[in-house]
Amino acid sequence: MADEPAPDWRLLAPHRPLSPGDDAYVARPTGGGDAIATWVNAGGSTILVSGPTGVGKSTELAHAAQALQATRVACLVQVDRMANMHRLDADALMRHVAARLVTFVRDEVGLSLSRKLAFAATGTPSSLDILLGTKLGSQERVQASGLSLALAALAEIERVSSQERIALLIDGLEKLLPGPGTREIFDALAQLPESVDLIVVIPWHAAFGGGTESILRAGERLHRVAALDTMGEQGNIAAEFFIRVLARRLRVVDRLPVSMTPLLEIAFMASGGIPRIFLQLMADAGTYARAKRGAGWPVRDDLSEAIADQEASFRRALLPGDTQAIMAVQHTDGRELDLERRVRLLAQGILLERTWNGRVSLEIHPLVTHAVLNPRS
Amino acid sequence: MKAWLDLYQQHRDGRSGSTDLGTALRRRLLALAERGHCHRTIQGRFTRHDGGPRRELYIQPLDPNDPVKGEPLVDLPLLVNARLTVLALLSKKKDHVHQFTAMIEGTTRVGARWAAAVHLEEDYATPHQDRKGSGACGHAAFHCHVGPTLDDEPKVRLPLPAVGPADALDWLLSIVVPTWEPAPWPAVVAALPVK
Amino acid sequence: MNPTQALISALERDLGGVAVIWCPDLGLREWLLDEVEGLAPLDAMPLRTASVDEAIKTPDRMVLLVPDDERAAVEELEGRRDQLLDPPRSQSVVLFLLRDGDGRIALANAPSLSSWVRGSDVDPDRVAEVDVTSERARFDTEMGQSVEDWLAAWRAGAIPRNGETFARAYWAALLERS
Repeated sequence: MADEPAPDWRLLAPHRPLSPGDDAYVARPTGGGDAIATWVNAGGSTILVSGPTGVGKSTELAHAAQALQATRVACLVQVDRMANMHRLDADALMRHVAARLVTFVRDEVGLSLSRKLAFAATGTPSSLDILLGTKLGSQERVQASGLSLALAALAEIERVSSQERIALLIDGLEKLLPGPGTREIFDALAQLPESVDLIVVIPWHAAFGGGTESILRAGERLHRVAALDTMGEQGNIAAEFFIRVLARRLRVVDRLPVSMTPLLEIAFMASGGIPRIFLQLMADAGTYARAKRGAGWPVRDDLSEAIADQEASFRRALLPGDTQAIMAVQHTDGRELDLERRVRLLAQGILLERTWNGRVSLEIHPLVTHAVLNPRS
Repeated sequence: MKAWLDLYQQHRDGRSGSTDLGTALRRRLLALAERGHCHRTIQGRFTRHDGGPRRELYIQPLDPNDPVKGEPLVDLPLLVNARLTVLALLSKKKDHVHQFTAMIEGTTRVGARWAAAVHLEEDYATPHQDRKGSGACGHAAFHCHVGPTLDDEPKVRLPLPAVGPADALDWLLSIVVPTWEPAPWPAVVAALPVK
Repeated sequence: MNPTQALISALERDLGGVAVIWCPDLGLREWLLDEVEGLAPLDAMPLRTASVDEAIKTPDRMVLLVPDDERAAVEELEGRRDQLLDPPRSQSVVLFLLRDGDGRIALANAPSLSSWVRGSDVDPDRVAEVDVTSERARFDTEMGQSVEDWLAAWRAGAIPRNGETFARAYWAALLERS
């Protein structure tokens, strides 16, 4: 182990999703961005994406956007990087969509859009205006609703693009709170033309709250980005995926010391199949190794302390009544859980949805199991 | 009498600033590591225990099985087998340093035992508080020892000015680390008031 | 692991992420603020603020976020979490919450923020807390005498003074009955 150069464990950056085209991306064994792109290319125009926190939704959405570039103008709109999701309304969302569309198409696809549209959508003059020193006054800015701007942008892009279709991938809406504001947001999205493919991450209360009516459009498909299996053949495949993700992020592909193998297996099992937790465990273990001993690579004790930290975090996330509820619903489909608790526990990843023989069954996250069985004050 | 009374009162007043003491000591230990005289993990190993109303600051050993206690110091020109001890006992109830000890032990290049320590006496355990020995001159509340050991007679108990524990650690390190000078003369002269 | 290493791990695990420091009370929160500032690297330029907005707009400084309203701050961070990704932060946001305060409940209801801080929310004072009863018993067994008897001999000058015995004296003083 001492022969391998010490990695910078901060490169794992578990909190940071990958951007489109990032060469650290590793194809997910199941349910990844390629599957989304395949469905869209096959004619599916509306995909609702769901999954617990840390499972990789944003990374897979970014990859899907990249994969769809070959056949569409595929624009990723990361709304949660632009706005407070608890205060977002339909008009603001559409303005963000319009602004992002214009910026993306102009700067990354390289299409020319009208000055009026660019200024209206983004509030900034075009590069031509800048070059010519043209000053655009506020009176020259088209006054329009967010939806109107978004529709105008889509229409103009459709007209000038050589690609036949536009795909809008909208990330961040899982954080929307239940209520009329969220319903209005989805009503606004439903008004976008059928010619536009919509891939939208949906709020947790919609994803985990049941309900059978369409959220956006008839024929929409629900794409779950679920925690990966940790057992059996699927578990082996998932473990290899996690290790490749770690190696790519650490930039140590093909240089992971053999002595790390048992630690990686332990971390994988402890993660419950959630990529972010796996990366957090390894990043923590690596940081402990450096802080405690000045060592570049962690040992079993370092990982044990990282696991203990995660267990403590999960323990703090449990509210009164959770322990009893969790124990009661494990290995069931969770229908006995009250809605608020169900959404919270599933969104947090405290309960994981597993599919056995086509049926959904809830499993307690392994790190929570220990916390639940060993409660501390 | 007045000089010793004034000094004793300064030592008592200097017991405040406990919330900053850990940071001030850690910065010096980190600087020691950056100069290559101790292991760089000392930043995380200089840590604390809390027990009831008190907090102890101490250096956790790099090797818990090392039979020789204290933080190994290396590359010191005048000492071999040198070990550093830094300890503080603070009140958790108020801004107050109960006790402080910083000590370097080792062997000189000619094989003689050598030790130096700065010591702020504990002030809570007995009715006499930090008033040890017979008086404020012979046993100042904040003093330093130098000798083959701290117990060799006659014990040298040199009263320290009221510089505070962290600055006293600077002085201790300056004995054995040649370039350790927190107050170089050019900076001191530059800071002198113009007459 | 000691409380300082736990703090370092929480502060340094995620480059530009969020860490949470659990504080026993408002008075000890000040100690913890000083402690975290002392552990910050020089280029972190720690900044204390109660404003989530200021935290988001200061990506190049370690922000010590000390909210006046814990629940509001956690809810705002939950809604604005991904704004911390753009522009990329070079320093973390460190959120100080009371151990049994409103922030803990709010965090349990904030899945996005919880996911980021999991494993990086540390209670250093709990890690530092010694089990005085069992440590006193262990001292008794190892030294063959009680903490108080050992300290009496120490204070009487009956025990040689060196680094090892000073360490034992300070440890005993921590365990001593008040």
